Parts: sequence; structure tokens; C-alpha cells
Amino acid sequence: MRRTLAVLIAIAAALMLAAYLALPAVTSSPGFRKAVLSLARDRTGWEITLEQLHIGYGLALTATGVSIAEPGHEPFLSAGEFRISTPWVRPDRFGYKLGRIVLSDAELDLDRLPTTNTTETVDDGPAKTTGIAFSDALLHGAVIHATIAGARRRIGPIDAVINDRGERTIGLRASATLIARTPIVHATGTLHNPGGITPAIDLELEWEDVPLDAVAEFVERIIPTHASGRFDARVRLHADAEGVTVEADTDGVTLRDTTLEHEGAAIRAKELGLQGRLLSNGAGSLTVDVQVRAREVSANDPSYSRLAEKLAGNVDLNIVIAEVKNARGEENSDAIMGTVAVNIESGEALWDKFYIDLKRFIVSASSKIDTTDDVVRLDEARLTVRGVGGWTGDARIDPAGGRYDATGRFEIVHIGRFLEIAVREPFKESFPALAAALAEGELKGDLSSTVYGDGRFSVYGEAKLSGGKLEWQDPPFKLKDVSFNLPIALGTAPVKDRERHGKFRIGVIEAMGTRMVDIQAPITTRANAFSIDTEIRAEFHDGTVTLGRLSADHILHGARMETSMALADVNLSALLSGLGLTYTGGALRGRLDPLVYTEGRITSQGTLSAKAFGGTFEAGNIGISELFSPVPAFSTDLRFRDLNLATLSAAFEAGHISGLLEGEIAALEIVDGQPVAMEARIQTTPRRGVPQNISVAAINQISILGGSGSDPISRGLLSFFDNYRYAKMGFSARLRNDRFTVRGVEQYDGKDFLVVGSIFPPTVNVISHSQVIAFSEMVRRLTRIRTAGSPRVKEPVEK
Amino acid sequence: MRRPMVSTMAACAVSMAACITVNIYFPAPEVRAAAEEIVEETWGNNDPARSSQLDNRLPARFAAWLADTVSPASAHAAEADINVSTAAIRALKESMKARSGTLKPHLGAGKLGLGKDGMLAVRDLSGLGLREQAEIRRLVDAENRDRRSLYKEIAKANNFEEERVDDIQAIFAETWREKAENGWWTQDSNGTWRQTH
Repeated sequence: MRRTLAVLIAIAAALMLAAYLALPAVTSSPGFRKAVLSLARDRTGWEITLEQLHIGYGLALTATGVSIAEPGHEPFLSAGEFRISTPWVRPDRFGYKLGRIVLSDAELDLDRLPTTNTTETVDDGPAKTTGIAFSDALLHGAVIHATIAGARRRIGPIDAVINDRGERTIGLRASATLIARTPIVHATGTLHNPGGITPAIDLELEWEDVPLDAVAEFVERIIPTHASGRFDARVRLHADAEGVTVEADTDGVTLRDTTLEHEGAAIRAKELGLQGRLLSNGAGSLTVDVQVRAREVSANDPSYSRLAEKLAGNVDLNIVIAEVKNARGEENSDAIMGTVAVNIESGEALWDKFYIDLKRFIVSASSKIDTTDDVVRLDEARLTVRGVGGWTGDARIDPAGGRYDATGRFEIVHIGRFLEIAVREPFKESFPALAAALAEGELKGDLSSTVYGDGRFSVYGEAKLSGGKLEWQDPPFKLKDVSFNLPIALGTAPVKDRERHGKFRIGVIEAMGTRMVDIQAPITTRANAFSIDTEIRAEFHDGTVTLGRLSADHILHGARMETSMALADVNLSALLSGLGLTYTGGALRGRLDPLVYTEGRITSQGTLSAKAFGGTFEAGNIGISELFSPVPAFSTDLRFRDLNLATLSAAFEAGHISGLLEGEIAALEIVDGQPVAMEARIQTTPRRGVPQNISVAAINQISILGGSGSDPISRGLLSFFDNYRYAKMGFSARLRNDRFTVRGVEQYDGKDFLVVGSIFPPTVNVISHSQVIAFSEMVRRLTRIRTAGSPRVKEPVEK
Repeated sequence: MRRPMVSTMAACAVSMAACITVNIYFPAPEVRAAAEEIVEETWGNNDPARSSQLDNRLPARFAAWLADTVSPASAHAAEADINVSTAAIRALKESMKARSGTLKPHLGAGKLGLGKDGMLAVRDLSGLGLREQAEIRRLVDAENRDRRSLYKEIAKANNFEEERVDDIQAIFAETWREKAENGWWTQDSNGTWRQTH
């Protein structure tokens, strides 16, 4: 019995040995292969082909040329080699467990995957088995084919290690070609519980020096621009039933030489660094918590008139993109809610001729953002320009409806810097006086504004100025201690038209050589209009100036302002001194009513009169035209009478003339300090007891002015007289188009007499032969007068 | 009785309507000469050879002459005395002259060009810093503001109607282009930019 048993064991052992020895040969046989394939086909329903199959002495099963397909379809999986190493018996379950599975050169086509899952999966509890247990699996050079974003993609080659040692995790180490051009991503990670109820995957993904072109379709889906540049990224991806989270540490994502272009507008960044977290949950919402650090960013609009360069700063984005219902109860699939903050620390920006140095004026902005109702709502928004001021409030942007609303509080803590950016620098070439303008003060207020797509706008609110100061040098002008509380209602679009009241105060005005103090008045505003209903009276050069009620209408388009001005006992010499002229004595008084501004032109009715040079001056029709052009023109009608020529000639250092003068200069127009038009009639008026004499110096100067080429009376018998008598002196002159037409006070025998001699000697006549004088010639003659020196009288000019 | 009265009134109305004055006189040749003088004075022409070439451009000169000859203005041209020297015009010329030295290099570099409307136009400021670009844009604004005022002042000095400012501007535009130096860019009537050679 025992012997029989021994023989049987020996036979069995021999058979087993024989079987073992024959195993490679048997398993390599076509029959075995056919049997295996038949078994597999029956179990899976798939068409499976093998080129070779054998089980070696190590009990490892190796198949080559493997191909698996649904019947009648192209293979969805092929592999150069499929190998399963020694199976292990599992004592605890009295079952078995496959050893290492190795799949080499596999190609999986996701588009051809069977539509029904025929694999059997057994769930035996948490962290337990799947239908097939194995030690681990290795993938070498696996390639996945799939249709992504409408195009066939090739992903791979992928090398992966899949472990099943209790942790139920799959380790992946892959190099994938995402868009079939360049290997762009290296991924390592683990897949938890791949067959369980709560599968999860953790991956570390790494891209290095990848062209943005490769992900252009993805970028263009988020931002409708063409993107170019390169990027590096190292992110962690965690996916489970709750959603997908992507996290990047500092500089986790770096974009280099990035350009985003859209219809001629472009943003270029030398370097953008991103860090933060993206979370996509199962409900389709995407949470973005990202910080962007930007360096050397530039931007341009299509016309290149709005530019930014060398910008550096950061952007904090904390938003959720989700599907929500808007106020009308409609689904908004891409509503954005959250906060955004931008801080620009350096760089420069240009908006046509407006330039700002952002290193000097650091700009920061932040806001809550909500696009639930198909408009962009910015709540608790804040815009700050360091050292200048800022704005806080709420805004609503509706590009589709062509409407932009903002309500909030602004505060300009340094008006001078604000005006420097917004007024002085942009306009100093066109208005040179601005170049030396300085301003100080603090302006704050609450404003609601609306801008429409067609450019119309409205602004409503209130502004307060304190500590205001404004000054420029030519002509000298200073406003100090300016404050106002001003209701504002302006707009090219309809704006609330309600009467509101404010006030203003100017502590000091220094202008025209005088100082006026404490000027204040209430002010009333309506839509595009304001008025100052009380008179403003101030001391002015020893007298007073009084501005009457001022009303201004249509101040944004076709503005019209009307007021009146009265001067009383103003010291003329002081006033002229303030204007750079020298004169002693006299007082200016009168009233201009109305004094009207409209269409760049100031006009007035009424007169200003002055006692001067012993007589009276009277100026009427005072006005300024082309006020905002490079060449504004001052105009007036000037009349004078009983001027004491002795005083007058002394004041102008025009020798000595005695007598009385009267006349008028009508339609006088002065541009750039020069008269360009006038109709003048000036002559002496005889009066009993008033002598009419003229000195040699005066004769000489009149002669030069009249066109004498040389000293006209330096020769002859009567050159030793110092003074001559005259009967009449004067001229009429017309200035038009830069030409004077001068006629004498009398015409005789075809000659124009500027000075008509008296009956009794010594007497003098001055005859003008040139009736038409160019302005340049007149300037030359005046220059000669200034340099003529003291003439000597030789002989009178004969009549 | 009534019919003749109505007829008479109608005739009067027609006659009154016919009594209008149309002043079509505009001394284009003199304005052109004035434009050449002002352009020379303010911006100068450092290329006499080119100036001579321009003068000898027969088709252009003939066309200009023909246009002037067949226009009603030509009957008065010889009598016209265009004034281009008022205080305002002098001030504007001085301002433009002072600015020309800064603007010319940018014209030579193609950054700026002479627009078809007689104004300076920004063409391409790339390569310049933004601060410099802002300065150039401000200079161009100031120059064009002066030019607009200049054309208005010429009309005013010569008692032209306000509508003639456009005619003056058109003549100046042509003159600025003709006086352009080598390498400058000018815009033709179709809006196409061409470099002067």
C-alpha cells in the first residue's frame, strides 16, 4: 500500500514534472492558444487575437501581438506584449492572486471602447478586492487615442505602475503628448480605490517650456483671444466624487513671453506667475482662488493711442463660476461671483496725451464682482491712486445694454497731483500758461454717474473742496484758502433737474497787483446750470469791484454765462502798475452790464471810465473773442477828452507837448499784445488859456512816426528854438489787415498835416507823406523813436 | 380784379426770391502763394532741389493753374491782395516755427506724417517711451490747434466768409505736402500714406 502510494506519487511527480517541462511547448502550441482565446472570447464577448502565447518555467504567461476588439470593429486595445508573472495562492481566501502584470507598447483607443461594460467587478467592502486581484501592474509605453475637443488626440507614451497592496492605489508615471505635437506633460500620482465607491486620484502634473499654442483651444474657450508664448507648470490635481481640485504653489505656473491678441488689441507679459487653487465640483461650479504676479506687462489698443508698458503688480482672484438663476428666474450658466483685487506697483500708461507714471502713482483696485443678472455688478469697489486719491462705491456695467453706472465717494487728497496728470501736463503745449500752474487742496464728494454707449453721460452729486490753492506766474495770479460745497448736476444725457444750494469762499485773490480777501457767496445749481444770486463785493486797488448776479446755463454745450461788474474808485495807477504799465494818478469806475460769455466769446455793455492825464477816458463794448484759441482777441471802443498833453507826453517820454487832446479809438482789437484793428480819430482841442506848444523832441518823434527817414528839423535857420507853437495837431488812423492808413488832422494841397502850425512864430508843421504804413514799418518807427536820443532843432518845416 | 393782384404778388415774390447775392470770389492762387510763404517761414524747406522739382511738376501745376483759371476767382486774382501778416497770424507762425524743430525729426523718422487734411497725424510711435509718446501727441495737438487757428485768422484777415476756412485748409494741406522733405510721409486724398522721395 505504502509502496503503491509511493509509486503513484512518483508517477504524479513525473507527470507534473513532465507537464512542467512540457508547459512552454504546450502553451506555445496553436491548440492551446486557440483554447485560451476561445475561453477569453466566451468570457468577454470580444474578438481577441494573439500572435504568440506561452507560459514559461517561471509560470509567467506571456502573450505577444495582442489585439482586442468588439466583434466587427477595429481593436480598441492592442499590445506588443502582455505578461503575467507567477500567480500566488492566497491562503486566507484559498484563492489566488495574479503576480505582476506587464503591458508593453499598448495602444488604447477610447473612441472604440465597448459601449457595454462586460468586465465583472466585485465590491466586497471598503478597501477590498476587485474581480481580479494582482500584485501590481506595469505599463510601458502605453498610448491612448481619444477624441478631445473635436479632434483626435494621441496621449502618451505613458509609463505607469499600478499597485494593489492593500492601499488600493495606482501609481502613475506618465509622459503624455496632449496635442500630438510635443510631449508637454509629465504626470506622477496615485489613483485611490479605482474600483471602489469613492474613487480618488492624486496627481502631480508638470509641464515644462510648453508653447501656449498647444493649449490654444483651451485658452480661447476662456478668453476669446489668440494666445502665444510658453509656460511651465507644476500643479497638484486631486479628483474624487466631490470634484476636481487643482493647486499650484508659489510660481507653480509661470507664463513667459505671453501674448494675448484680439482684433488688434494685445496684452504682452514677459512673465506671469500664478499660484492658487481651482476647484470644480460635481454640480458644475468652478471655484477660482488664484494670485497672479505680473512682470513687464504691456498692452495696446488697436490704434496704439492707449498703451501701457512695463507694468508690474499682482492680481488676486477669488471667484466662483456657477450656474445660477438670475433675477428674472432664468438660468445663467456662467455667473461669476467673488472678489477681485489688482495692484499695479510700477510701469507707465498712456491714454492719447494723458500719461501716468505708475511707479510714482501706484494704482490699486478691488471689488466684489457678480454677473448673475447678465450685467457686471461691482460692489464695495475701491480704486486708489497713491498720493492722489481714490474712489469707493458700487458700479454696474452693462455692455450689452450700453450703460455704465457708478455711485460712490471720491476723494482727491492732492489736487495738484491730480491736475498735473489730468490737466497741466496734457494741455501745457496748447495752453503754455498751464506749464507753471500749481494747485493744492483736497476735493471729496459723493457722485452718481451714468455713461451710455453712445458717449452721453450724467453726473449727479456733491463735491467739497477745502484748502484750495491755485497759482500761476504769467500773469501773476494766486487763489488761496479756496473752499466750496457744490451740488453737481451735469450731463449730456438727462440728469435730475432740482434746485440745490451750496456755497464757496475764496480767502485771498492776488492778481493784477492787488489782494482781495474773504470773498464768499451762496451758489445754486440746477441741471447743467448754476447761479450766484448775491452780489460779490471786494476791495480792489483802493476801490471796490462788485460782481452782480451770475447765471450760467448749458455749461457742457453752448455754455452761456451772464453777470455784471461794477468798479468804483479803483486806483488806476496801481491797476496799470499791476499790469506792468506806469502811470500816476486817476481813478477807474463804471459798470459793465451785462457781461456775457458765450461760444468762446465775452461781450459787454456799459462803460468803464477813468480820470487820467487831466481828462477822461471811457471804454465801452469791452470784450474778448476766440477766448480758448492760441490768439484770443481783446476788443473795445475807447473815447477820451480833455487829456492834458503835457502830462501825457511826459508819461510817455515823448518830449513836451502842451494842449488838450480828445478823440476816440473805435473797434480797437488787440491780439498777442498788439493792436490788429481800429478806427482812430485823435486831435487837439483849443481852449482859452491853454497854450499849444510842442518841443523839438516831440516834433522829431512825431516826424519819425509819420515816416520821416531822418531828423527832419535838424537843419535850417530856426534850429535853435526849443519849442514851437501849433494850432492843431492830430490824425485819423485806420488799422486793418496789418496796415495803418494814417491821415492828417488837415489835408491841404494833397498833403496830410499831422501838426498844423500857429499863426505866430515860432511855428511848426508836420506833414505826412505816407498814408499807408505796414505794421512792421510802424514797429520800426517806434523802435527808432526809442533810440532816437535828443534831437536838435535847426529849422521849421514849411507849410 | 383779383386774379391780376394775385399774379402781381406772385411775380413780386418770384422777383424777391431771385434777388440774392452770391459771392463766389475766392482768390485761390493768392491763398496758395500765401500758404507757400507761411510754410516756408514756419517749417522752411531745406531741399531746394526738391522744391525746384515740385515747381516743375507740370501736371500738378497745370491742374492748379487750370482750376484757378476756370474758377470765377481768377477774374479777380490779379487784383487780390492776400494779407497774411496780422498780429494773430504772426503769433501763430512764431509758435509753429518754434515747434517745428522738435517735430521735424519725428516726421523724418516716419513717426508723424502730414495728413490729407493739412494736419499733422501720428503714424507710428513704436520704439519710443510712453512719456515721449505723450509729449509728441501733445505737440501734435498744439500744432494742429495752431494750424486751425491760422486758417481761421487768414480768412478773418481777408474778410473771407467762414465757409472759406475749409478752402484755405485744403490749399494749405496741398502746400504742406508739396513742401514735405525727403523721407517724410504724406497722406494722399484717398488716405494712403506715401513716403516722399
